[in-house]
Amino acid sequence: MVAYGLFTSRREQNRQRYRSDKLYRGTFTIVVIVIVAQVFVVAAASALLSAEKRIAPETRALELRLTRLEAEEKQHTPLLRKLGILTSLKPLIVNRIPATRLIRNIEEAFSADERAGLIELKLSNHFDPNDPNSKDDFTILLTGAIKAANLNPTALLTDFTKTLEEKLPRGANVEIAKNAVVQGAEAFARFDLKVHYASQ
Amino acid sequence: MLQFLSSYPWRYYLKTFFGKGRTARGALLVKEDRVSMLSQVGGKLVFSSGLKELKGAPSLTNSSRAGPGTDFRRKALADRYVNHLFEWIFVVDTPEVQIHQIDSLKYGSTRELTTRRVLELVPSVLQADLADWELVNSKLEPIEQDTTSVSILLGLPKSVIKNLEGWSRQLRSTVSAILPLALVLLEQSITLSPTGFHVVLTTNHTVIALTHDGEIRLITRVDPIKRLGATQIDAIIGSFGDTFAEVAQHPARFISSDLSSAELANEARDFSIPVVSTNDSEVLDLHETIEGYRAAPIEAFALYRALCIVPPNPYH
Repeated sequence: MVAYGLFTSRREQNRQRYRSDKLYRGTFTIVVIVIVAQVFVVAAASALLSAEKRIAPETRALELRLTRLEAEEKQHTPLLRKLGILTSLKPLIVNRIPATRLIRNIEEAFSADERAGLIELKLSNHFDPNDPNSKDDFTILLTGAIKAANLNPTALLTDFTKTLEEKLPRGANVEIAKNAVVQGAEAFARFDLKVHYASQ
Repeated sequence: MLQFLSSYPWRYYLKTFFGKGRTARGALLVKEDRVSMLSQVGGKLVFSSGLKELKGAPSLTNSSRAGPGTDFRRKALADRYVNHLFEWIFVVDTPEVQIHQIDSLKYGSTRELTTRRVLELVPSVLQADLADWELVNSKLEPIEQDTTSVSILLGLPKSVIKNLEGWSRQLRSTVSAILPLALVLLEQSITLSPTGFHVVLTTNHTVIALTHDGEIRLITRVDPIKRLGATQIDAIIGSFGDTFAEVAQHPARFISSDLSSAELANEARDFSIPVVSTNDSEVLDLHETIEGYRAAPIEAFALYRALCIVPPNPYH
Protein backbone atom coordinates (compact mmCIF):
# COMPACT_ATOMS: atom_id res chain seq x y z
CA MET A 1 0.00 0.00 0.00
CA VAL A 2 1.19 3.50 -0.78
CA ALA A 3 1.23 6.17 1.90
CA TYR A 4 -2.04 7.90 2.71
CA GLY A 5 -1.90 11.45 1.43
CA LEU A 6 0.66 10.68 -1.30
CA PHE A 7 1.26 13.84 -3.34
CA THR A 8 -1.22 15.87 -1.34
CA SER A 9 -0.19 19.33 -0.24
CA ARG A 10 0.54 20.29 3.35
CA ARG A 11 -2.58 22.42 3.28
CA GLU A 12 -4.73 19.41 2.34
CA GLN A 13 -3.07 17.28 5.02
CA ASN A 14 -3.62 20.00 7.61
CA ARG A 15 -7.23 20.27 6.52
CA GLN A 16 -7.76 16.59 7.22
CA ARG A 17 -5.76 16.72 10.45
CA TYR A 18 -7.82 19.65 11.73
CA ARG A 19 -11.03 17.83 10.87
CA SER A 20 -10.21 15.00 13.26
CA ASP A 21 -8.35 17.00 15.89
CA LYS A 22 -10.25 16.78 19.18
CA LEU A 23 -8.85 20.06 20.49
CA TYR A 24 -9.95 22.05 17.44
CA ARG A 25 -13.33 20.36 17.40
CA GLY A 26 -13.72 21.00 21.13
CA THR A 27 -12.80 24.65 20.61
CA PHE A 28 -15.37 24.89 17.85
CA THR A 29 -18.04 23.32 20.08
CA ILE A 30 -17.28 25.86 22.81
CA VAL A 31 -17.41 28.71 20.29
CA VAL A 32 -20.77 27.47 18.99
CA ILE A 33 -22.15 27.20 22.53
CA VAL A 34 -20.90 30.71 23.33
CA ILE A 35 -22.45 32.11 20.12
CA VAL A 36 -25.77 30.36 20.79
CA ALA A 37 -25.71 31.66 24.37
CA GLN A 38 -25.01 35.17 23.05
CA VAL A 39 -27.92 34.87 20.66
CA PHE A 40 -30.20 33.92 23.55
CA VAL A 41 -28.87 36.80 25.67
CA VAL A 42 -29.36 39.28 22.82
CA ALA A 43 -32.87 37.93 22.16
CA ALA A 44 -33.77 38.22 25.85
CA ALA A 45 -32.26 41.71 26.09
CA SER A 46 -34.11 42.93 23.00
CA ALA A 47 -37.36 41.45 24.33
CA LEU A 48 -36.84 43.26 27.62
CA LEU A 49 -35.98 46.49 25.83
CA SER A 50 -39.05 46.36 23.63
CA ALA A 51 -41.22 45.57 26.66
CA GLU A 52 -39.66 48.47 28.51
CA LYS A 53 -40.32 50.78 25.56
CA ARG A 54 -43.91 49.60 25.46
CA ILE A 55 -44.58 50.32 29.14
CA ALA A 56 -42.40 53.42 29.35
CA PRO A 57 -45.29 56.02 29.19
CA GLU A 58 -47.20 54.09 31.83
CA THR A 59 -44.08 53.92 34.02
CA ARG A 60 -43.47 57.63 33.62
CA ALA A 61 -47.07 58.42 34.63
CA LEU A 62 -46.79 56.17 37.67
CA GLU A 63 -43.50 57.78 38.66
CA LEU A 64 -45.06 61.23 38.37
CA ARG A 65 -48.00 60.15 40.46
CA LEU A 66 -45.68 58.63 43.03
CA THR A 67 -43.70 61.87 43.26
CA ARG A 68 -46.88 63.85 43.69
CA LEU A 69 -48.10 61.48 46.37
CA GLU A 70 -44.78 61.70 48.15
CA ALA A 71 -45.01 65.49 48.16
CA GLU A 72 -48.56 65.31 49.48
CA GLU A 73 -47.52 62.85 52.14
CA LYS A 74 -44.78 65.25 53.23
CA GLN A 75 -47.36 68.02 53.47
CA HIS A 76 -49.63 65.96 55.67
CA THR A 77 -46.99 64.53 57.91
CA PRO A 78 -48.38 65.97 61.23
CA LEU A 79 -51.86 64.77 60.40
CA LEU A 80 -50.61 61.36 59.46
CA ARG A 81 -48.66 61.15 62.71
CA LYS A 82 -51.84 61.90 64.64
CA LEU A 83 -53.74 59.36 62.61
CA GLY A 84 -51.06 56.86 63.41
CA ILE A 85 -51.43 57.50 67.13
CA LEU A 86 -55.19 57.17 66.84
CA THR A 87 -54.84 53.99 64.89
CA SER A 88 -52.61 52.57 67.59
CA LEU A 89 -55.22 53.52 70.20
CA LYS A 90 -58.08 51.98 68.26
CA PRO A 91 -58.01 48.59 70.03
CA LEU A 92 -58.07 50.35 73.39
CA ILE A 93 -61.05 52.47 72.42
CA VAL A 94 -62.93 49.57 70.88
CA ASN A 95 -62.34 47.25 73.83
CA ARG A 96 -63.32 49.74 76.56
CA ILE A 97 -66.75 49.86 78.16
CA PRO A 98 -67.44 53.24 79.61
CA ALA A 99 -67.80 53.32 83.41
CA THR A 100 -70.86 55.50 83.04
CA ARG A 101 -72.73 52.58 81.53
CA LEU A 102 -72.08 50.48 84.65
CA ILE A 103 -73.03 53.37 86.93
CA ARG A 104 -76.23 53.86 84.94
CA ASN A 105 -77.07 50.17 85.32
CA ILE A 106 -76.52 50.42 89.08
CA GLU A 107 -78.65 53.57 89.34
CA GLU A 108 -81.40 51.87 87.37
CA ALA A 109 -81.33 48.93 89.81
CA PHE A 110 -81.67 51.24 92.79
CA SER A 111 -84.44 53.24 91.10
CA ALA A 112 -86.35 50.07 90.39
CA ASP A 113 -86.41 49.06 94.06
CA GLU A 114 -87.81 51.77 96.32
CA ARG A 115 -86.84 49.88 99.50
CA ALA A 116 -83.09 50.19 98.79
CA GLY A 117 -81.11 53.36 98.47
CA LEU A 118 -77.62 54.24 97.33
CA ILE A 119 -75.38 56.01 99.78
CA GLU A 120 -71.91 55.79 98.26
CA LEU A 121 -70.27 54.45 95.06
CA LYS A 122 -66.52 53.99 94.65
CA LEU A 123 -65.26 52.93 91.20
CA SER A 124 -61.75 51.84 90.40
CA ASN A 125 -60.34 50.55 87.05
CA HIS A 126 -57.24 48.41 86.63
CA PHE A 127 -56.82 49.37 83.00
CA ASP A 128 -53.17 49.75 81.89
CA PRO A 129 -52.89 52.53 79.29
CA ASN A 130 -49.37 51.42 78.30
CA ASP A 131 -50.56 48.00 77.27
CA PRO A 132 -52.44 48.11 73.91
CA ASN A 133 -54.10 44.79 74.78
CA SER A 134 -55.16 45.91 78.22
CA LYS A 135 -58.92 45.79 78.98
CA ASP A 136 -61.16 47.46 81.47
CA ASP A 137 -61.27 45.76 84.84
CA PHE A 138 -63.76 47.58 87.06
CA THR A 139 -64.25 47.10 90.78
CA ILE A 140 -67.20 49.04 92.22
CA LEU A 141 -67.84 49.26 95.95
CA LEU A 142 -71.42 50.20 96.77
CA THR A 143 -72.76 51.30 100.08
CA GLY A 144 -76.52 51.31 100.41
CA ALA A 145 -79.28 51.16 102.94
CA ILE A 146 -82.60 49.36 103.36
CA LYS A 147 -85.46 50.73 105.47
CA ALA A 148 -85.55 49.05 108.86
CA ALA A 149 -89.34 48.79 108.57
CA ASN A 150 -88.87 45.77 106.39
CA LEU A 151 -89.16 42.56 108.24
CA ASN A 152 -86.25 40.75 106.61
CA PRO A 153 -83.63 43.12 105.17
CA THR A 154 -81.28 40.20 104.40
CA ALA A 155 -83.80 38.58 102.06
CA LEU A 156 -84.51 41.93 100.50
CA LEU A 157 -80.80 42.50 99.88
CA THR A 158 -80.56 39.10 98.19
CA ASP A 159 -83.42 40.07 95.85
CA PHE A 160 -81.77 43.42 95.12
CA THR A 161 -78.48 41.73 94.39
CA LYS A 162 -80.18 39.47 91.83
CA THR A 163 -81.90 42.46 90.20
CA LEU A 164 -78.59 44.31 90.04
CA GLU A 165 -76.86 41.34 88.39
CA GLU A 166 -79.58 41.23 85.72
CA LYS A 167 -79.14 44.94 84.99
CA LEU A 168 -75.34 44.75 84.70
CA PRO A 169 -73.61 43.45 81.54
CA ARG A 170 -72.97 39.73 81.24
CA GLY A 171 -69.89 38.67 83.15
CA ALA A 172 -70.41 41.14 85.97
CA ASN A 173 -70.14 39.63 89.40
CA VAL A 174 -71.94 41.00 92.46
CA GLU A 175 -71.08 39.86 95.95
CA ILE A 176 -72.35 41.01 99.32
CA ALA A 177 -69.48 42.50 101.31
CA LYS A 178 -71.61 43.47 104.32
CA ASN A 179 -75.12 42.19 104.88
CA ALA A 180 -78.03 44.45 105.82
CA VAL A 181 -78.58 43.99 109.55
CA VAL A 182 -80.82 46.26 111.68
CA GLN A 183 -78.96 47.47 114.70
CA GLY A 184 -80.87 48.96 117.62
CA ALA A 185 -83.30 51.67 116.79
CA GLU A 186 -81.74 52.71 113.44
CA ALA A 187 -84.21 53.48 110.70
CA PHE A 188 -81.99 52.04 107.94
CA ALA A 189 -79.91 48.89 107.74
CA ARG A 190 -76.65 49.60 105.85
CA PHE A 191 -75.12 47.13 103.47
CA ASP A 192 -71.97 46.96 101.26
CA LEU A 193 -71.82 45.33 97.79
CA LYS A 194 -68.76 44.62 95.65
CA VAL A 195 -69.30 44.59 91.90
CA HIS A 196 -66.57 43.25 89.61
CA TYR A 197 -66.63 43.50 85.88
CA ALA A 198 -63.88 42.78 83.37
CA SER A 199 -64.61 43.46 79.69
CA GLN A 200 -64.48 40.36 77.44
CA MET B 1 -2.07 32.08 11.83
CA LEU B 2 -3.77 33.04 8.57
CA GLN B 3 -3.00 29.63 7.16
CA PHE B 4 -4.51 28.04 10.26
CA LEU B 5 -7.65 30.17 10.00
CA SER B 6 -8.04 29.50 6.28
CA SER B 7 -7.65 25.76 6.89
CA TYR B 8 -9.93 25.71 9.96
CA PRO B 9 -12.74 23.32 8.93
CA TRP B 10 -15.64 25.13 10.57
CA ARG B 11 -18.06 24.09 7.81
CA TYR B 12 -17.10 20.45 8.37
CA TYR B 13 -17.53 20.82 12.13
CA LEU B 14 -20.95 22.37 11.61
CA LYS B 15 -22.06 19.61 9.25
CA THR B 16 -20.81 16.89 11.58
CA PHE B 17 -21.84 18.68 14.79
CA PHE B 18 -24.29 15.95 15.78
CA GLY B 19 -22.09 13.06 14.65
CA LYS B 20 -19.95 12.00 11.75
CA GLY B 21 -21.46 9.99 8.94
CA ARG B 22 -19.78 7.32 6.90
CA THR B 23 -16.95 8.37 4.65
CA ALA B 24 -17.05 7.34 1.00
CA ARG B 25 -14.33 7.13 -1.62
CA GLY B 26 -14.03 7.55 -5.31
CA ALA B 27 -11.18 7.29 -7.81
CA LEU B 28 -10.83 9.67 -10.72
CA LEU B 29 -8.51 9.14 -13.66
CA VAL B 30 -7.51 12.55 -14.97
CA LYS B 31 -5.59 12.70 -18.22
CA GLU B 32 -5.12 15.39 -20.80
CA ASP B 33 -7.56 13.65 -23.13
CA ARG B 34 -9.73 11.63 -20.78
CA VAL B 35 -11.49 11.64 -17.42
CA SER B 36 -13.12 8.56 -15.92
CA MET B 37 -14.45 7.74 -12.50
CA LEU B 38 -15.06 4.79 -10.21
CA SER B 39 -17.14 5.13 -7.07
CA GLN B 40 -20.08 3.57 -5.29
CA VAL B 41 -23.62 4.10 -6.48
CA GLY B 42 -26.25 2.35 -4.40
CA GLY B 43 -23.71 0.02 -2.78
CA LYS B 44 -22.06 -1.03 -6.04
CA LEU B 45 -18.91 0.24 -7.71
CA VAL B 46 -19.79 1.96 -10.96
CA PHE B 47 -17.26 2.93 -13.62
CA SER B 48 -18.02 5.93 -15.81
CA SER B 49 -15.82 7.04 -18.68
CA GLY B 50 -15.85 9.88 -21.20
CA LEU B 51 -16.36 12.56 -18.55
CA LYS B 52 -13.77 14.98 -19.93
CA GLU B 53 -16.35 16.69 -22.11
CA LEU B 54 -18.64 17.49 -19.19
CA LYS B 55 -18.33 21.06 -17.96
CA GLY B 56 -16.84 21.16 -14.45
CA ALA B 57 -14.73 18.01 -14.87
CA PRO B 58 -11.32 18.08 -13.13
CA SER B 59 -8.38 19.20 -15.21
CA LEU B 60 -4.61 18.93 -14.89
CA THR B 61 -3.91 22.26 -16.52
CA ASN B 62 -6.44 24.61 -14.93
CA SER B 63 -8.56 24.76 -11.83
CA SER B 64 -11.95 24.10 -13.40
CA ARG B 65 -15.03 25.13 -11.49
CA ALA B 66 -17.14 22.26 -10.19
CA GLY B 67 -20.06 24.47 -9.25
CA PRO B 68 -23.51 23.08 -8.43
CA GLY B 69 -24.88 23.86 -11.88
CA THR B 70 -22.14 22.20 -13.90
CA ASP B 71 -22.80 19.17 -16.09
CA PHE B 72 -20.18 17.14 -14.29
CA ARG B 73 -21.85 17.63 -10.96
CA ARG B 74 -25.34 17.12 -12.33
CA LYS B 75 -24.64 14.09 -14.50
CA ALA B 76 -21.45 12.38 -13.37
CA LEU B 77 -21.81 12.90 -9.63
CA ALA B 78 -25.53 12.17 -9.43
CA ASP B 79 -26.30 9.53 -6.74
CA ARG B 80 -22.64 9.39 -5.69
CA TYR B 81 -23.15 11.50 -2.54
CA VAL B 82 -20.05 13.61 -2.97
CA ASN B 83 -19.97 15.82 0.12
CA HIS B 84 -17.70 16.77 3.03
CA LEU B 85 -17.28 13.08 3.91
CA PHE B 86 -16.14 12.08 0.42
CA GLU B 87 -12.49 11.30 -0.34
CA TRP B 88 -11.00 11.40 -3.80
CA ILE B 89 -8.09 9.36 -5.09
CA PHE B 90 -6.80 10.97 -8.26
CA VAL B 91 -4.92 8.89 -10.80
CA VAL B 92 -3.10 11.20 -13.17
CA ASP B 93 -1.05 10.91 -16.33
CA THR B 94 0.90 13.99 -17.28
CA PRO B 95 4.20 14.38 -19.18
CA GLU B 96 5.78 16.07 -16.13
CA VAL B 97 5.54 12.95 -13.92
CA GLN B 98 9.06 11.93 -12.93
CA ILE B 99 10.21 8.48 -11.79
CA HIS B 100 13.79 7.91 -10.64
CA GLN B 101 15.38 4.93 -9.03
CA ILE B 102 17.73 5.88 -6.19
CA ASP B 103 19.93 4.02 -3.79
CA SER B 104 18.44 3.96 -0.29
CA LEU B 105 21.92 4.17 1.22
CA LYS B 106 22.35 7.47 -0.54
CA TYR B 107 19.05 8.69 0.84
CA GLY B 108 20.15 7.86 4.39
CA SER B 109 17.89 8.44 7.36
CA THR B 110 14.42 9.81 6.90
CA ARG B 111 14.63 13.48 6.10
CA GLU B 112 12.30 16.00 4.56
CA LEU B 113 12.36 15.78 0.79
CA THR B 114 13.27 19.36 -0.08
CA THR B 115 14.22 20.54 -3.59
CA ARG B 116 17.85 20.70 -2.54
CA ARG B 117 17.71 17.18 -1.19
CA VAL B 118 16.11 15.95 -4.44
CA LEU B 119 18.89 17.59 -6.46
CA GLU B 120 21.45 15.86 -4.26
CA LEU B 121 19.79 12.50 -4.86
CA VAL B 122 19.23 12.94 -8.60
CA PRO B 123 21.36 15.76 -10.05
CA SER B 124 19.80 15.35 -13.51
CA VAL B 125 16.27 15.98 -12.26
CA LEU B 126 14.27 18.58 -14.19
CA GLN B 127 12.43 21.52 -12.66
CA ALA B 128 12.86 20.17 -9.15
CA ASP B 129 11.37 23.27 -7.53
CA LEU B 130 8.17 23.09 -9.60
CA ALA B 131 7.35 19.59 -8.44
CA ASP B 132 6.34 17.87 -5.23
CA TRP B 133 8.40 14.80 -4.40
CA GLU B 134 7.63 11.50 -2.74
CA LEU B 135 9.87 8.56 -1.98
CA VAL B 136 8.57 4.98 -1.91
CA ASN B 137 10.37 1.72 -1.31
CA SER B 138 10.70 -1.19 -3.73
CA LYS B 139 7.25 -2.48 -2.68
CA LEU B 140 5.74 0.96 -3.37
CA GLU B 141 5.20 1.41 0.36
CA PRO B 142 6.28 4.46 2.38
CA ILE B 143 10.05 4.45 2.83
CA GLU B 144 9.65 5.05 6.58
CA GLN B 145 7.74 1.77 6.86
CA ASP B 146 10.47 -0.40 5.33
CA THR B 147 13.72 0.95 3.95
CA THR B 148 14.56 -1.39 1.09
CA SER B 149 17.82 -1.12 -0.83
CA VAL B 150 16.04 0.28 -3.88
CA SER B 151 13.87 3.38 -3.51
CA ILE B 152 11.82 5.20 -6.10
CA LEU B 153 11.65 8.97 -6.25
CA LEU B 154 8.42 10.23 -7.74
CA GLY B 155 7.76 13.78 -8.85
CA LEU B 156 4.50 15.47 -9.73
CA PRO B 157 4.00 19.13 -10.75
CA LYS B 158 2.74 21.34 -7.95
CA SER B 159 0.28 22.95 -10.32
CA VAL B 160 -1.43 19.59 -10.95
CA ILE B 161 -1.77 18.98 -7.21
CA LYS B 162 -3.09 22.50 -6.68
CA ASN B 163 -5.64 22.18 -9.48
CA LEU B 164 -6.97 18.82 -8.32
CA GLU B 165 -7.13 19.81 -4.64
CA GLY B 166 -8.85 23.05 -5.59
CA TRP B 167 -11.39 21.14 -7.64
CA SER B 168 -12.03 18.73 -4.76
CA ARG B 169 -12.38 21.61 -2.31
CA GLN B 170 -15.18 23.08 -4.39
CA LEU B 171 -17.13 19.90 -3.68
CA ARG B 172 -16.20 20.17 0.06
CA SER B 173 -14.51 16.77 -0.29
CA THR B 174 -10.93 15.80 0.53
CA VAL B 175 -8.07 14.18 -1.35
CA SER B 176 -6.69 10.88 -0.05
CA ALA B 177 -3.87 10.62 -2.59
CA ILE B 178 -2.79 11.60 -6.05
CA LEU B 179 -1.21 8.67 -7.85
CA PRO B 180 0.64 8.64 -11.18
CA LEU B 181 -1.16 6.29 -13.56
CA ALA B 182 2.11 4.53 -14.39
CA LEU B 183 2.57 3.67 -10.72
CA VAL B 184 -0.95 2.22 -10.41
CA LEU B 185 -0.57 0.16 -13.60
CA LEU B 186 2.83 -1.06 -12.42
CA GLU B 187 1.35 -2.15 -9.09
CA GLN B 188 -1.42 -3.90 -11.01
CA SER B 189 1.12 -5.62 -13.25
CA ILE B 190 3.24 -6.72 -10.27
CA THR B 191 0.11 -8.18 -8.63
CA LEU B 192 -0.40 -10.35 -11.74
CA SER B 193 3.31 -11.26 -12.19
CA PRO B 194 5.37 -10.79 -9.01
CA THR B 195 8.61 -11.76 -10.80
CA GLY B 196 9.69 -10.58 -14.23
CA PHE B 197 9.75 -7.56 -16.50
CA HIS B 198 6.94 -5.06 -16.55
CA VAL B 199 6.37 -2.58 -19.32
CA VAL B 200 3.79 0.07 -18.47
CA LEU B 201 2.60 2.06 -21.45
CA THR B 202 0.73 5.32 -20.96
CA THR B 203 0.17 8.26 -23.27
CA ASN B 204 3.10 10.15 -21.79
CA HIS B 205 5.46 7.51 -20.42
CA THR B 206 6.90 4.08 -20.71
CA VAL B 207 7.91 2.64 -17.37
CA ILE B 208 10.10 -0.44 -17.45
CA ALA B 209 10.62 -2.34 -14.23
CA LEU B 210 12.14 -5.59 -13.18
CA THR B 211 10.67 -7.23 -10.08
CA HIS B 212 11.44 -10.24 -7.96
CA ASP B 213 8.80 -11.60 -5.57
CA GLY B 214 6.84 -8.36 -5.85
CA GLU B 215 9.82 -6.13 -5.13
CA ILE B 216 11.21 -3.74 -7.71
CA ARG B 217 14.89 -4.30 -8.43
CA LEU B 218 15.26 -1.96 -11.39
CA ILE B 219 13.00 0.75 -12.71
CA THR B 220 13.28 3.44 -15.34
CA ARG B 221 11.00 5.85 -17.11
CA VAL B 222 11.40 6.65 -20.78
CA ASP B 223 9.36 8.38 -23.45
CA PRO B 224 6.13 6.78 -24.69
CA ILE B 225 6.47 3.85 -27.05
CA LYS B 226 4.89 5.81 -29.89
CA ARG B 227 7.73 8.35 -29.71
CA LEU B 228 10.60 6.10 -28.65
CA GLY B 229 9.82 2.99 -30.69
CA ALA B 230 9.70 -0.65 -29.65
CA THR B 231 13.36 -1.24 -30.57
CA GLN B 232 14.63 1.19 -27.94
CA ILE B 233 12.45 -0.33 -25.27
CA ASP B 234 13.55 -3.80 -26.28
CA ALA B 235 17.16 -2.64 -25.87
CA ILE B 236 16.51 -1.34 -22.35
CA ILE B 237 14.83 -4.60 -21.37
CA GLY B 238 17.85 -6.40 -22.81
CA SER B 239 20.26 -4.36 -20.67
CA PHE B 240 18.13 -5.05 -17.58
CA GLY B 241 18.18 -8.76 -18.45
CA ASP B 242 21.95 -8.72 -18.49
CA THR B 243 22.00 -7.50 -14.89
CA PHE B 244 19.36 -9.95 -13.57
CA ALA B 245 19.67 -12.99 -15.82
CA GLU B 246 17.51 -15.27 -13.63
CA VAL B 247 14.60 -12.83 -13.71
CA ALA B 248 14.97 -12.28 -17.44
CA GLN B 249 13.82 -15.84 -18.06
CA HIS B 250 10.24 -14.82 -17.20
CA PRO B 251 8.15 -13.25 -19.95
CA ALA B 252 7.75 -9.47 -19.89
CA ARG B 253 4.27 -8.27 -18.92
CA PHE B 254 2.89 -5.38 -20.94
CA ILE B 255 0.11 -3.29 -19.47
CA SER B 256 -1.67 -0.22 -20.75
CA SER B 257 -4.94 1.50 -20.05
CA ASP B 258 -4.76 3.40 -23.33
CA LEU B 259 -4.21 0.57 -25.77
CA SER B 260 -6.69 -2.18 -26.43
CA SER B 261 -5.63 -5.82 -26.03
CA ALA B 262 -5.10 -6.08 -29.80
CA GLU B 263 -3.07 -2.89 -29.98
CA LEU B 264 -1.00 -4.00 -27.04
CA ALA B 265 -0.33 -7.39 -28.64
CA ASN B 266 0.65 -5.60 -31.81
CA GLU B 267 3.15 -3.40 -29.96
CA ALA B 268 4.61 -6.37 -28.13
CA ARG B 269 5.06 -8.38 -31.32
CA ASP B 270 8.43 -6.90 -32.20
CA PHE B 271 10.13 -7.66 -28.88
CA SER B 272 12.98 -10.15 -28.68
CA ILE B 273 11.82 -11.68 -25.38
CA PRO B 274 8.56 -13.52 -24.60
CA VAL B 275 5.78 -11.03 -23.87
CA VAL B 276 2.41 -11.28 -22.04
CA SER B 277 -0.15 -8.60 -22.81
CA THR B 278 -2.44 -7.87 -19.88
CA ASN B 279 -6.09 -8.15 -20.84
CA ASP B 280 -9.36 -8.06 -18.96
CA SER B 281 -9.72 -11.85 -19.03
CA GLU B 282 -6.96 -11.97 -16.41
CA VAL B 283 -9.14 -9.99 -14.05
CA LEU B 284 -11.84 -12.61 -13.71
CA ASP B 285 -14.01 -11.11 -10.99
CA LEU B 286 -14.11 -7.67 -12.60
CA HIS B 287 -17.66 -8.05 -13.91
CA GLU B 288 -18.85 -8.95 -10.41
CA THR B 289 -17.04 -6.04 -8.79
CA ILE B 290 -17.43 -3.13 -11.18
CA GLU B 291 -20.49 -2.12 -13.13
CA GLY B 292 -19.80 -0.59 -16.53
CA TYR B 293 -16.19 -1.80 -16.72
CA ARG B 294 -16.56 -2.97 -20.34
CA ALA B 295 -15.99 0.55 -21.68
CA ALA B 296 -12.32 0.37 -20.59
CA PRO B 297 -11.58 -2.75 -18.50
CA ILE B 298 -7.91 -2.05 -17.63
CA GLU B 299 -8.68 1.55 -16.81
CA ALA B 300 -11.57 0.48 -14.57
CA PHE B 301 -9.35 -2.05 -12.87
CA ALA B 302 -6.57 0.52 -12.46
CA LEU B 303 -9.02 2.79 -10.64
CA TYR B 304 -10.16 -0.17 -8.56
CA ARG B 305 -6.53 -0.91 -7.64
CA ALA B 306 -6.05 2.77 -6.78
CA LEU B 307 -8.94 2.48 -4.32
CA CYS B 308 -7.28 -0.62 -2.84
CA ILE B 309 -3.70 0.59 -2.49
CA VAL B 310 -4.45 3.81 -0.64
CA PRO B 311 -4.96 2.97 3.05
CA PRO B 312 -7.96 4.26 5.02
CA ASN B 313 -7.85 7.78 6.39
CA PRO B 314 -5.62 7.60 9.50
CA TYR B 315 -7.11 10.80 10.89
CA HIS B 316 -10.57 9.22 11.35
